[in-house]
Amino acid sequence: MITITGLKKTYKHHQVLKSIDIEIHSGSVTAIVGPNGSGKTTLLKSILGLVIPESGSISVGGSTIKSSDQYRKQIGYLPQNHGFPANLKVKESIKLLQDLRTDVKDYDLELYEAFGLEEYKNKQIKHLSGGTLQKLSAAIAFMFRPTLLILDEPTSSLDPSASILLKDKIRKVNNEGVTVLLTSHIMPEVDELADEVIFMLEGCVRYKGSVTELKNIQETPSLEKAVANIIKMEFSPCLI
Amino acid sequence: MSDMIKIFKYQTRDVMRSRLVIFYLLFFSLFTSLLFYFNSETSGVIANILSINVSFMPLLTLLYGTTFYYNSKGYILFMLTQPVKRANLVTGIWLGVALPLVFSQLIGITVPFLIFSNLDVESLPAIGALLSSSFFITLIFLALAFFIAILQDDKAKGFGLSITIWFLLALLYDGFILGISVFFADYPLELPLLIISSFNPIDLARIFCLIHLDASALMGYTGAIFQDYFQSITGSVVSLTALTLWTLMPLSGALYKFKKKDF
Repeated sequence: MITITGLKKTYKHHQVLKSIDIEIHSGSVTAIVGPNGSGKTTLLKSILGLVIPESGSISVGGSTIKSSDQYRKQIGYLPQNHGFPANLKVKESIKLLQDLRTDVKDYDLELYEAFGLEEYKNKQIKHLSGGTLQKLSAAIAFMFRPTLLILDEPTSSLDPSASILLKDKIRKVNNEGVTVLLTSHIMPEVDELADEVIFMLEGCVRYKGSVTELKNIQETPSLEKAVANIIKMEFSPCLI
Repeated sequence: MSDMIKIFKYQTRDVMRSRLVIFYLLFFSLFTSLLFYFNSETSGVIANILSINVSFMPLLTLLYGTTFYYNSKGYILFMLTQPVKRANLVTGIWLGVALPLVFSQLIGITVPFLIFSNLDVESLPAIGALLSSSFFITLIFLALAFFIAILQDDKAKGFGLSITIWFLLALLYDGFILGISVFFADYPLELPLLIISSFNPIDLARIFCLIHLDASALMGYTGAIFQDYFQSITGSVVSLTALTLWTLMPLSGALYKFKKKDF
């Protein structure tokens, strides 16, 4: 589904990504974890085409991302912070995206309905709470039936019941074959959702494998402890 | 319908509901009406509105434009994750912000003119020129604002740069031209000053409007030269072309930087 080869990115003399090589298989739920500043966000942004890498290549679903912006039709993205014009109504924000995404006619409105967003459809974005905005962003991420979901801290600012609904939906679409790539600082959530983990440190991938295997290697039943153990480990410098 | 037009359509709807558009509409309606109340001469009213257009409007547009861009970063970032070309996104947003502002100004100015002035055929070109200069001032300074905000991620630096550019173009530039004209008073300066003035969109907008008024005393040194040189039609074409170029230059700069930018 996603193939990343030799990906490098430098910001103002600081190398944020150091020759990343990763393959993410179709139908998997992969979590990217690591401490702040490890390069997780830059990696996600590179896949989304928001960051232009200085070298390396990324292909999503067989399309190289440099060639066209159309590969993003495959992606449903849930950002950490919402992104809608403040004076537009909820229904107008959705309509804007529907107008742009003419390739999809049969929208997935399951999460939109489950979150009860219909009652907010005539409200302006600026009048919505942070939680409702997060629900709207999540509903939109699923709306265009993507084959790849990229979720950045998906349950942040969601109440427990909304969080459960979202996690159920993630599992459901994953069972239908959708590939999920997520970042989260909440390790029990990663443990619950992901079957693969990519652990990043200082711009390098330090571990990539199954969650179970990581816990076995670290001899702990807790993913949180396993990740904490890796952070403490001393690594040789990674390939630049 | 292209993606740019779709984005423009929704952006317009968003900005039409913003307070600045309502403020523009009320301010220009009230200001123009008051000018007619105190001054029945159409040319005097035009000159007064023009002085607002070339002094405060560039600053207001620059500050609004940069603030708008910085506040819309989340939206821009999200839209970039959609299958949309970067150039279409930024052009659609720019047009969607600029046209409601232009629209509210034009309505705010035109309606009092229709109500209070004795519109005669002779004053129509001057009114048209005033509206055109308002149109260009907004487009140019909004494009500059977007260019600055795209170039400079730091909000404080962006605002600083906006204010500096306004200070240079609105205040210092005429002083610079005056200095040249005094310093080189013994030389034929018409053509060099003409060329120098085209490097300032505020001067161009002022000249473009004032060559349609019989008010060379209000035009400043560069405007007087422009009138001497071009008189109406040629001068209009030259200044309109220069104003169009002034719109396209910062917009092209903004597009170029936006295409290569990391978000």
